[in-house]
Amino acid sequence: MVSLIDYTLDEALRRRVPQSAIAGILDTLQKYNVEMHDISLEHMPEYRNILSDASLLERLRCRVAPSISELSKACGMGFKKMAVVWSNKLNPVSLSKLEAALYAVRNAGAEPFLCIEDASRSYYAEFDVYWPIIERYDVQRLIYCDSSSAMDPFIVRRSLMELLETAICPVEFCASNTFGLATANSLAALKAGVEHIGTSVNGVGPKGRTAMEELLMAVRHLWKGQTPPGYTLADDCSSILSAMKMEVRVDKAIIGANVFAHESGIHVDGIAKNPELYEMIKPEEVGLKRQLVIGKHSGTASLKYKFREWEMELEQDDAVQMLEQVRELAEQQKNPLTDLQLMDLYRRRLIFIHE
Amino acid sequence: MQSKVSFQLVDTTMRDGEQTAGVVFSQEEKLQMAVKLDEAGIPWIEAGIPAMGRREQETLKEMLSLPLRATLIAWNRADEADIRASIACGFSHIHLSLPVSDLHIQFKLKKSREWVLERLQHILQFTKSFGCTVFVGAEDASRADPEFLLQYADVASRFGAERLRYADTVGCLDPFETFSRVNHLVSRSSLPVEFHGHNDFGLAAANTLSAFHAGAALASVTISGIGERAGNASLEEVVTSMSHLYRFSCGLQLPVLPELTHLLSRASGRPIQTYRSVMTAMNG
Repeated sequence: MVSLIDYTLDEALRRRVPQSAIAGILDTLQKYNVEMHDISLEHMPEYRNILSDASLLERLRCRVAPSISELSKACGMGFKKMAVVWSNKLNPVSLSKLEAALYAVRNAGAEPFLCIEDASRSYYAEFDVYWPIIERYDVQRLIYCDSSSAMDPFIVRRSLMELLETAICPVEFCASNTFGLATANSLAALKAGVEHIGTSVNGVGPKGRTAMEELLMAVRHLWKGQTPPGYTLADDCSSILSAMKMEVRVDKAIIGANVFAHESGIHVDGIAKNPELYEMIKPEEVGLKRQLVIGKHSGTASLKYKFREWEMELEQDDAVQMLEQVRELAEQQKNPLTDLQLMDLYRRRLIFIHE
Repeated sequence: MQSKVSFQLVDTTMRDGEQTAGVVFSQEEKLQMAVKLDEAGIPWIEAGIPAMGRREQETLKEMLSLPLRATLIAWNRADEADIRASIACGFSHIHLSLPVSDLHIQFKLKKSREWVLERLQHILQFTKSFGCTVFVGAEDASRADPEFLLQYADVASRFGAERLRYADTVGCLDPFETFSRVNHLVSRSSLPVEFHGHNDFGLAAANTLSAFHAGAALASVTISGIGERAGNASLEEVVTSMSHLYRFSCGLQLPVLPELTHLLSRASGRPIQTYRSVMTAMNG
């Protein structure tokens, strides 16, 4: 099962979400196999209270620069897990700085992680210098970051497969989403054999992350893999975002309110015959509902389907004639018709016929 | 990685994009988008569906009268009335679509594979009789039997189609599946392949890049990825990722992309996307 490293909390802290909302976010994320939350040290001073919860502290991993002041601040706060953020600049002076930082983490009784920010710019053989250091300080994991979005899925798979051949510790992958490839790149990392993936709800984060909901549902539906149930996924993501004063876009993959809305005649006709024709996931699997939208692209089948939902039968001739009016109205108002508008058209039509 | 210099984009913002539930573009907006897409250097624009009626036909005629370098394409079902409507508008480039998965053939058409092949042959002959250039769409190709898809491509090729669209209608491919399926089709069929991705799992742009590596000659995109459900492959994502990762321009002017994004946002009534990749970076 894929293990998730969450970056949603970090974004919530960056956006200064009130402390009272943090517990709710954390509880909700617990449903989705989140192993730990990666957070930046710079956001912590305002949220020190949450660190008094010992069980939460076990699930937090603090990102620290390899500097004495940051390390001592993080040690003072009592973090149990620390990721030393490192740029892959290789020279003996810089490596001794890294060793000093890892030593300080160990010395504070915390577990060290090595986060290489620009790993995607490096050739796998370059990592050979890190393995002895990783062994010496018992570094828990190498965090392979594509912070500059320099990779496509094929490059990710190849690079990580090569890296895993020589790696002496588990590898974690963390994508950025500058070009919209983060979810695909994370799937590629899983293909390569990496088990720990950095994600955030809706992909939030300054450069974007892998969207948690997309990764989980892709693994479940495209690969038939095991992931936590998603029956409340859309609601959960939406409430987490709303705590951050953000909205889920209506067409956001997996969780958008409109991803199960159908308007075009061909699609509605298909959905009426068998929803699988145009839906890979059942709406209820992510806690959403199918919607039928009547608008410019509706067909007669859509109108009949809509009326059948109201337990009314619409004759073919009526549907054909109403459709023209529906399209004109939708175009005029640049919006689909409301149920009331549709009913109104139907009533007027009846009056017209009986006159 | 293999590089195909001939790779081109087909913009379908005004066809698949406008089919988004709840989205309606005005005539003026459609004309503006066509002009701006042309300015960006898009070689192909899928302009709309003439069979939708008189008002749509008027818009499409207006669009056809614009002095564009891009070629406008009409989308059609495999239906004579649809084709006639497109011809009447003045289209010379016709896209016609039929489903190819057994699921669609059985439940939507309630027909057989044989019927699909016969229908394709008939409608191709009919359309070609008007002297049109014809492109053929294979709806739900990603869930179809690959061997049947080859038969479909073979009929399309024999009866004069000039391109085959591989539609991942429900967005169910990952980039590795896309590569192997498109590669299989490209190596076995004589027709240029166009990949048409959907974003149901957030993979449309990545799948489009895979199709490029697999030898697809073209790919469908929409401005800001607008489209049914979770949308299509985004023009901005595909163009900028190819430019950044492969130094491949797709022949497009990148500086026009933000203007296209703003135009689409106003026309669709949807705010500029945040947390969807390059659009945020471009628009602050």
